[in-house]
Amino acid sequence: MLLLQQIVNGLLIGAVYALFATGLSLTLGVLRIMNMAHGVTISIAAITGVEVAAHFGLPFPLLLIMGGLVGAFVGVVSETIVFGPLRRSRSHDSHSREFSTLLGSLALLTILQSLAQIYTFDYTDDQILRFPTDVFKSRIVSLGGIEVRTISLVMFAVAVVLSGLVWWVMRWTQAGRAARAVAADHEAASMLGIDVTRYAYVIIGSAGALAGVAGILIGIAFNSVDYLIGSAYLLRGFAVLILGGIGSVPGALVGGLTLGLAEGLTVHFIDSSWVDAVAFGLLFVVLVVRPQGMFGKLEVDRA
Amino acid sequence: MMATLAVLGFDGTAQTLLELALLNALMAYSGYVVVAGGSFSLAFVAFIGLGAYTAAILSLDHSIGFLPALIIAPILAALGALVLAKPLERLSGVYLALVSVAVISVFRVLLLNFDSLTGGALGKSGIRPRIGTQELIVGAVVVVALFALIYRSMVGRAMRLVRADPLVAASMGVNVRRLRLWLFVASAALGAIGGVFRAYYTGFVVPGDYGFELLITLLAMVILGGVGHWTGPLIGAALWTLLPQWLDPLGLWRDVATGGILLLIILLLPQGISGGVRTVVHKARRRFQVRGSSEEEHTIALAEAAADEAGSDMVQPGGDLVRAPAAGLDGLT
Repeated sequence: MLLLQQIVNGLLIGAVYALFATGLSLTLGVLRIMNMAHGVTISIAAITGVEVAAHFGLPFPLLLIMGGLVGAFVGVVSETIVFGPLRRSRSHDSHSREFSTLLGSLALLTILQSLAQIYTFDYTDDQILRFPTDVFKSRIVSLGGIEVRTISLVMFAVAVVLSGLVWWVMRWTQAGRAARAVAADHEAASMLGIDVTRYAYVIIGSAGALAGVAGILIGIAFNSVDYLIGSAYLLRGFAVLILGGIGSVPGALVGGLTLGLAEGLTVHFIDSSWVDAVAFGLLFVVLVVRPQGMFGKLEVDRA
Repeated sequence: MMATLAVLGFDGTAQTLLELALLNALMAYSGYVVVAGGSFSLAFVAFIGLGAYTAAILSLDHSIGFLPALIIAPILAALGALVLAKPLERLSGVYLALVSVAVISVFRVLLLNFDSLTGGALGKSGIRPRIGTQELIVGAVVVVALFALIYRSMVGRAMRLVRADPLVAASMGVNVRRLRLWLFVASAALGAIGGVFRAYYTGFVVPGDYGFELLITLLAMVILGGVGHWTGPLIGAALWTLLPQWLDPLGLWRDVATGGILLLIILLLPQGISGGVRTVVHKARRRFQVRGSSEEEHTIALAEAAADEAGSDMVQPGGDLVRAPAAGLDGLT
């Protein structure tokens, strides 16, 4: 029964990994940006969420929307000051542009994380912020002997619904088709009249929004928010990305659940201190055995 | 205690700054090796950690000193790199960067969990005797001289060409895969040497010192200095070491400023300082028709200047993007 409990716990947290990784996957798949600053979005959204909840008493659903807006804002700012200028820069060739983008996101990570640190440093003694307890009154329900917190169930539901939404948009709408065209070839897409710059904003904004929602959910579920809260999710997000395949939305969902499950099993059979190693061991194995991930198409990279 | 403070950047004496700059340069060259070969393999940080921990374990548990560690650690790292290279060689671009992130993370978990060997979260301290300015100067001079020699050699030219365009390099007879494999192994060995120096300079090792912060710092140094020239990491390490001192009055805002400066460099000076200086020099030379010391050297210099600009996508009037990679070829022939 304890094993089953760990499996369920793993799947529930895995949904959040999926939610976060979906955004990471979109930015990498469509825009070729390996955004190391994506994790900070979680921290910033969660910190803002605590402040807003404490001062204005925003109800839970509005808090989620606000988290999404804050995340989208972080994304748009990143695109405006870092990724957009680098994409248009003429002094970079395609290889050095990819590399500069990676470095640019590292610089962005340093800036945003330090800002978050400064904010929390001034504000509290232990630098840990907590949501007011009445934001979401989580109860424990028993499902056939397995105990689950209601917040975890909400977290799971929100993650699955949002992932489904993103998948539907990408698969069936005109905007999704355009985004996939951009993913295939920036230049060809722009020749076909697709405004790549606009789609870059939409994609990064949406990715930020997903991370923002994840930030609020994580902040409430674990009720401990600090400026580093997102970094653990960033690493897991990359693992999920590789597991599921870059650019694949269902892949991110399945990858997230798989990672959550693997972590649950690790806690049960080995020890919680090995959780990180198992996540990345899994990543490593997938890259060697099936580099395109579970759902990705094989991409032939130049040289 | 003084050394601890110094490593954290609190002691501002000129000698300490010199020592830190040399130490950082030693480690930065490990990153330079892979980046200059156009690879995204960022796992060198883990090999720096491997070197540092090897030195610490040898010194504290087996009474094996600095010089033997300088030989043993790079051999271990090179072997590790060879093992790791097999699964990695099929990957490139962001995939490689992602796996590097994984390697660095797994390395940290291993350090934390094998605490009988590594000392766990507390690490290991009391590595004696500590090294000082002389050893660091000797180490840095040897490494920099090595890179100055490599730069002019066939290997150095092949590296620059592979970074500019791997396909063109392959068509010129460069075995891109093998070159990158050996650069990866060399980077690991060099990183381990840097790690040994760091362990013996600070006197302690802790897991947190060999993670993403070190990666960001070293990459910043490499990029600031410029990957196109052998002086790059040295320039980058010197400036990046001084930077926190200059920004000290900003207090908590220092890290924000550091990130902002890094961002500005990436946006405005993508070839780094050495690249910027070289571009200016070459332009001046071309304008005044000043020849190099010999005809051949002049040709190479011009070809390299062209190679620096070669990769850039040149936007034609029609809006088509045309790549012009072939301009760097003269440098090889």
